[in-house]
Amino acid sequence: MRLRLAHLIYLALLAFAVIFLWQAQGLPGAQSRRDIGPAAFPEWIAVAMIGLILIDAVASRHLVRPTNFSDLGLAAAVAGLLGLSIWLATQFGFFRVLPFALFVGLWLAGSRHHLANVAFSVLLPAVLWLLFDRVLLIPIAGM
Amino acid sequence: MPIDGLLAGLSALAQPDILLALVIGVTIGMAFGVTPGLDATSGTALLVSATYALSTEIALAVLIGIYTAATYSGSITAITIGVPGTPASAATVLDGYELTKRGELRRALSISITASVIGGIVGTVALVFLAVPLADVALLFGAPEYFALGLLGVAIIASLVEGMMLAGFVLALFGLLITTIGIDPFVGFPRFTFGNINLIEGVPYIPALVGLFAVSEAISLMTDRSDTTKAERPPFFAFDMDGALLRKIGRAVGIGSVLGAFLGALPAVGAAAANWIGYNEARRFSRDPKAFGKGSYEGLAAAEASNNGTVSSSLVPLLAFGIPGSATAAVLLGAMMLHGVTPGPNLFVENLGLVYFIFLCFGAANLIMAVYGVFGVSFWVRLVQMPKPFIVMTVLTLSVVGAFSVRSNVFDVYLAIALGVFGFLVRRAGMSVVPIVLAIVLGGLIEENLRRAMISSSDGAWIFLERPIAAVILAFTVVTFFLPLVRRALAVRRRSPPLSEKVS
Repeated sequence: MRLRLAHLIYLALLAFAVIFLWQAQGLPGAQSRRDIGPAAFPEWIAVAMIGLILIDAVASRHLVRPTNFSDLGLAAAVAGLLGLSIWLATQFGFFRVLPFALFVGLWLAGSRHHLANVAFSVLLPAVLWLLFDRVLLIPIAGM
Repeated sequence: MPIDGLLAGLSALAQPDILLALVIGVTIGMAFGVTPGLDATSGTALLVSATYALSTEIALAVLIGIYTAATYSGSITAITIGVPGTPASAATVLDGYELTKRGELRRALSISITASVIGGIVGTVALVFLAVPLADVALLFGAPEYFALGLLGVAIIASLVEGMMLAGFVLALFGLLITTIGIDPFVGFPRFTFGNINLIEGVPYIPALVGLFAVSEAISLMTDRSDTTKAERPPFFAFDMDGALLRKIGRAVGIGSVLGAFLGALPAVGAAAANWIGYNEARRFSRDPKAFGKGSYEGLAAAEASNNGTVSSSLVPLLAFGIPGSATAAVLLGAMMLHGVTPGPNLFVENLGLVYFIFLCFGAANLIMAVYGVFGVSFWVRLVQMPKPFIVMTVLTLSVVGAFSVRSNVFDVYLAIALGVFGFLVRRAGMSVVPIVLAIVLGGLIEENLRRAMISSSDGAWIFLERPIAAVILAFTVVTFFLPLVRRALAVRRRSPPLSEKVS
């Protein structure tokens, strides 16, 4: 059987449901005879999810597209670069890191107009600083 | 009294800052709509946290402006370059781009704005006349009915997802499971937090929306290879409409507007589906159906009237029952909750002025949009030609800011990125993120009302069958679950593709 992205997603969701089902066993019981308690709803959902995943993985094996591994690579690269930028922003300050992150991001995304890239990398943070920090008083500089 | 609500809404709308907010919202919405890959949902999701520091009225005016304009402006891209700016303008390409190729760009743009504004206003009238009486009915609802209604809302959205047979339901269950993270509302015990203090209050709603809609959209844009640089630019004043043309498209606009307004009020039938349905129905009733697809004025008018007809009427389930019927309505629900407003029947009792303010905002947004459509379309066409890397980086930066802004917590940004990557993979697998979002929105309501109903019941789960309205809604839910399964099973047996419609 060829590897399919939908099946990889189902595998991740299956693991998610199993972990929740296992964790739900440690939750306290209901406080009254009529209440179903904090564990029942997530347990039902997790069991239903596991059941549907197993049924669907078999029943619709002909309906899903094969995996394009470049999608997985792109997703991992974007997550890694964004995560790194956020970590750097927490260390050095959001508005100090953002211009560099934007410039690198534009270059990686394929833009080779260096002058436009520099202008954009300076202007967007300036607009955000003005709008969020000064006008809306939302302290994004403190990230 | 409705007249008091209307007067209160009018006096709020007449404030200069509200009108300015509407103009800003419409402007931003135009920009999102013309950009292929971005739409009303990603636009509102990105900017909902920016409205956090604003008053409720200003915040709603901005978001309503974005929603209204983004649904229309996708047609500018569809007409000028033949690529739908949003999924809601896919059918617009068929005749709109044909007209451009025939040298009738100005006429096509004029038909589009005229039909969109008429459709939008018909949808707003439908919102007023449907939401008010439905809210009166909803006042009779108790916990069992709300549990059943929440379940039906999730089931309808889930049943419309393409891809694997049960993908929509699996993703909806995933969303429901996410909502169980955090303090249990009844016993106050933390669930599934894995020792992470950031999860004590549950998975924050706005970062989840930003991740699933905006971040995933930005990553998808990186893989988009459509050429948007070849657009023909119309003159500054591009309006070319006369009485004869108006009479020619009148019937199609009427069919599209009424159908759009009706379809928008139904949960899960969004502007994208209405765009096609309106187009097809107008062709069926046309005197010249053979012209459709070859540059028909009627085809373009019907497609545009129907998608804009859904915009305001999609708020009917949200305002009447507190249950969003579409992805953008779910974002608006998040915005309302952020400002301490709980939509539903009680809103009509406690703050009727705000309800009428929302109705009036939709009407005003359509009029502002008309001005943009008549003057300066050339500016928006220039925006279509903006290189994709700049759009991607703008969306990603706004996503980071949007996810951080609500709680000033970096954890929320990481969460948005994680959900964004997951959302991108879900899209690439041919599924939709909408069931996850709807389930995250409705999960708390479903569990709380399930448990409240059980606690108040002396017969256990029988309470759901003893109450007629709850029983009927649950029966619909069961049908919603099994009907697509039967249809798809038959489709597989015939070795043909599934018959489901795609959720935008």
